[in-house]
Amino acid sequence: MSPMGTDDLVSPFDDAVVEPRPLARRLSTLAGKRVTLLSISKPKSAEYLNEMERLLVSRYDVIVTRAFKPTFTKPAPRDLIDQVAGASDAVIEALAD
Amino acid sequence: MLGIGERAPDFLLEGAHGGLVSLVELTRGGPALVVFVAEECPTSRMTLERLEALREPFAAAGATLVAVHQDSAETAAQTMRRCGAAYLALVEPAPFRTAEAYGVRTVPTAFLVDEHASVVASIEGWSRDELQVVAETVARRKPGGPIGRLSAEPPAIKPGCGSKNTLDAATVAAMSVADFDELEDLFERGWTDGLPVVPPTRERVRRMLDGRSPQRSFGPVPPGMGELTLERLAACAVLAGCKPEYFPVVTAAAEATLEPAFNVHGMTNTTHTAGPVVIVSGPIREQIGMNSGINAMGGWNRANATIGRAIRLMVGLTGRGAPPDLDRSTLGQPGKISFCFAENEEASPWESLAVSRGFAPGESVVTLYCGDAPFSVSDHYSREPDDILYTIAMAGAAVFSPTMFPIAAETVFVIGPEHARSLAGAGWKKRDVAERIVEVTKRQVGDMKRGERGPFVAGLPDDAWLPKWMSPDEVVIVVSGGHAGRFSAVLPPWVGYGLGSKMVSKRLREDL
Repeated sequence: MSPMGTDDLVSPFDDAVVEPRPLARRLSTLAGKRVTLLSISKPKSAEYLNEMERLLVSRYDVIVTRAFKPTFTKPAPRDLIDQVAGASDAVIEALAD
Repeated sequence: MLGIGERAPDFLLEGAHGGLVSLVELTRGGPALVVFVAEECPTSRMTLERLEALREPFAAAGATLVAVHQDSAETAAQTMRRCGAAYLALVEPAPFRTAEAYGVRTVPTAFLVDEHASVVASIEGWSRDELQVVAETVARRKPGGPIGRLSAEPPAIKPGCGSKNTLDAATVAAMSVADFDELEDLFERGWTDGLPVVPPTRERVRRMLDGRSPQRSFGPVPPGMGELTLERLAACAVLAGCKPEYFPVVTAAAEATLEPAFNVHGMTNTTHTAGPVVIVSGPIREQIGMNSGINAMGGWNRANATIGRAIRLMVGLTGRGAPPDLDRSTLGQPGKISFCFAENEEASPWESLAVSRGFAPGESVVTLYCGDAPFSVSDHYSREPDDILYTIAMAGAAVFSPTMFPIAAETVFVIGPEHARSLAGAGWKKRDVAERIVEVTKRQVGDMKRGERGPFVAGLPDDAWLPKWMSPDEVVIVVSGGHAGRFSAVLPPWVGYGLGSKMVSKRLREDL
């Protein structure tokens, strides 16, 4: 115990416990799965995601869907998250510069 | 406790300011009032504060006022400063054998010991009347000399606290401050931006809140979404080193930071270098002693330095937007410790930023801007507005990236008072200045096809002209700085095109 004791100080943090969310079940195979490539809409993200799409389709036979955040400067809107989550078996979110 | 007539055992203790002192030495030329104290004990502190009135009369009578602290030397010295006292401070470490030998059970306990090491008086706790008798006993040694008078302010009697020699070793160890450095402790907790912070004790936070409701919520602070209560904001202000009178500015700045238009989430997460810049307008600047003159943007003024820091700590700690986790800036810049300055409205020939933004003259207003480190512009040669603005605009043309046309983002130009006087002296208004800056920075597309470029460049012919700013409204003029020196500065913005951040202004509120 420190002489000041935690209780003597007011924490600037919000220590409310956030329950950890379990990871989604891992896919046993990519074959025939729906994979969304989510661009955060930074310049040059297309180059990276195009190559990713080519590899996924040619090597793993996945069904690729493309989605876009409206802007890289703000969090994705809830609707977009729900839409992507509902239509995908897996999502790859790409940051690019 | 040793009683009257008993022999006071000798001791050899370290002075809080160095050296070793024995009772024999202390009583060689006259009696000594030896008071056992501990910093944690309010009665001890009150006693030390009040006994200060006896120190000089004691000295005149050849007597000494000495406190034996059950504290570290550092704490003893701090206590003296707090009590405004100059007694001789000795420190006794655990296991407090001297206190044990004197039979001390509570602190404070005072013993008046004469030249023969005989106890003349012994007093437990604070007892004004008994201590006043001691003062008179000492004064009688030198008839006609001054008699120390203790304050008549209540309480007349106040019980003391357990003396540390009466406690078990584990309890004493837990209380010991000898090896504890509270500033280092705050570094270990991660409650800092890398500079020492002021411990946000409940008392300091209470003073910062000054009666405001601690649980009043401002909602979540992006990006980590910790809930910002007034109490947490006050903790950030204390950590930053704010005085309570700065808190209305901190609360207004926090409100502005959390407006969605300001986009603190993106500003924090971005790999860009910009951070929150707090610009203060109106009478509050003078009321809290802000600097808008020499070195206006350079700190070394408590209000300027700590208000900006409080906002940055709020984002970094409550919002968990600290590098390297949720603050992802590739380079960062010194303003991300603190960046707050005041307009020099007294030296400005134009209306203030606040008035330009629709507030009434005389209102105190805080404006949040998402800006990069200042880029200063020297022009000591030009006198004509066109020439001065050509120089300043050239610096502005380079913001974000010299090839990014347009930047299409609000951009703050801090015009130094000398430049402002030259411009206004020739009849130029703020709007004229903004229009000229937009006009003079236009570039041909052909020059902008290398390096980072805006979205329009590809589709335009090389001889087409592009502005840096889409409208003079994006050129924001603020006057600040010292009277001498023909300097201005541009504070580059974060990303433009409506994607980044909008400036947000808030009036200081009576209810916050």
